[in-house]
Amino acid sequence: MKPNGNLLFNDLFDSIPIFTVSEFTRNLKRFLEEHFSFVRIKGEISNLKVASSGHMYFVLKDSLAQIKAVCFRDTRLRLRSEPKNGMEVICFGRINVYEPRGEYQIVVEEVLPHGVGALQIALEELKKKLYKEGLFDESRKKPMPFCPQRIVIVTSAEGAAIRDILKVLGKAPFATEITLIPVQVQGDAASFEIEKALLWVNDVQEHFKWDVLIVGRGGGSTEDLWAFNEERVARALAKCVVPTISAVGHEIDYTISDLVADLRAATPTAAAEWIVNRQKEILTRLSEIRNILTRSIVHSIEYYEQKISYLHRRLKDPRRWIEDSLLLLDDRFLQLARALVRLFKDYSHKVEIFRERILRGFSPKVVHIRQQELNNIAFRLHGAAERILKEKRELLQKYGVSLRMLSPYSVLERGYSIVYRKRDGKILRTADDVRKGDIVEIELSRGQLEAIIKESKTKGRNRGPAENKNFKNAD
Amino acid sequence: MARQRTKTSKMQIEDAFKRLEEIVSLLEDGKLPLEESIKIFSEGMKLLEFCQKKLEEAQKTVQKLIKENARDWKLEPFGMSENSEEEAPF
Repeated sequence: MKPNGNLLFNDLFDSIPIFTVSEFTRNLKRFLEEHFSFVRIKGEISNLKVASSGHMYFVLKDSLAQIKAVCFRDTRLRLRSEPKNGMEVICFGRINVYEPRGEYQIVVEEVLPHGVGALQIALEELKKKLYKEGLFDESRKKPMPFCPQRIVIVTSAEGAAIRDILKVLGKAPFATEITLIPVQVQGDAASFEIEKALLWVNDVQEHFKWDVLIVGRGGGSTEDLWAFNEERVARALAKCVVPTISAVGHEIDYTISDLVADLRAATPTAAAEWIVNRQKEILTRLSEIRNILTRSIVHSIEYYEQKISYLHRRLKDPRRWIEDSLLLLDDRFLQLARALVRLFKDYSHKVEIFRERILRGFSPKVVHIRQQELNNIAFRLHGAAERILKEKRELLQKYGVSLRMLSPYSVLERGYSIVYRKRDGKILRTADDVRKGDIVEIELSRGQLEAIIKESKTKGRNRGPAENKNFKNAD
Repeated sequence: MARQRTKTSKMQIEDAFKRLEEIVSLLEDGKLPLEESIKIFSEGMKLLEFCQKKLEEAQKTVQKLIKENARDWKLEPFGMSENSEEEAPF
């Protein structure tokens, strides 16, 4: 038995191929990487550190085992929530064998918090992040189409959502062109499929010219709806060129899709109803406009008709106008005649008064009184005249005496004389007035003399002329 | 404003509506002369007709859009009854 056994063992042993370390590791690597190209591993994070390169290393463990994990820099920055020591997570990634060290590890693509409340915490963190980026801003949102008719729906082909939507849209007043892009709306692939579909819509919009996009699903648990809380769906919605309506059937919280979409409907049915109502509003307004148009043109025509008939009434027969005018003229004439009669009566009354006053002024009694008044005046005039004559006579005598006293001849009586130049009769005032040999006449108080100048003394006192001046004034 | 006539050839239903509202308020004002009123009234009627036509342009269809490869897509008619067995081929 033993040799046999040994032989058998040896044979067996020999039949086992010999690998070098590298060969074996390479085989192992190929095997593991082929069979576990993608894995999800649940565990607790420990020994977490971020290298200077930016890559993150940690150990994922549970009560019995552990596995090394690496998250490269680019992936780490995209992670939805930040891994921390002690955190219960599900790591999504691929298995990698690091040959130089003979170690295997998980290369992490996504880290999802796991356990009670962890999802909610991650969701709040994502909400904050997207809010800060402005993805929820109303200003960023596209306006809804005026009349949505071409509708693209991203949802499951089997779900309640598409059934509800089609049922409601069947009642739309205008024709609707509905295109479904079928996707999974729950499970791990859902968010990826929804993201792809949304991006694809952008690619083919040129061809389809959709008016509006509905993305959503019927109601379900928080986990069922989770795809609509994923960041990639949010970002794809924000980038969508078609106005978006988020229609996720749920009751309490808004999903992130609700916050990013241009319009939020509580359910797929509500989204479809919004479209139908919009169409109905347009239909109503159109018929209103039709009514207003017809009514106002009819009104307008009636208005002009009324205006015409009014003008027509005002446009009377000219004969009547002449009759009216004649009547008016007649009336005026009567008024005028009456006024004239009144005026005439007034004047004749006035004339009567004047005549009375004139007659009264010329009565015999008045004449007598006037005569007496006149006599009286004549008498007074006579007396006054006499008195004045007497006064004047006396005044005349008085002036005569004064006159005589002022005569130059009365000066002569006091011994002065007047000397004339014989040739022209000029009264001499200065010695210069005569030259030697001139003949002068001298007037005395009584009689005259004629004399010849023997000598003229020019330089003399100026008294003479002053006295002479007096003579002249007396003249 | 009333003079500007609208060309309906390249118009969107939204523009047609805007012009219709304009026409309605002009007519409701009642300040236009009769001739002008009739002119914009008939313009309004044409726009109404245009809107009606535009609204009827869409065909009542329900279809499914399926991506065949990176560039191409395929349209399939979609009815609720027949598709219950179908898988989403995304």
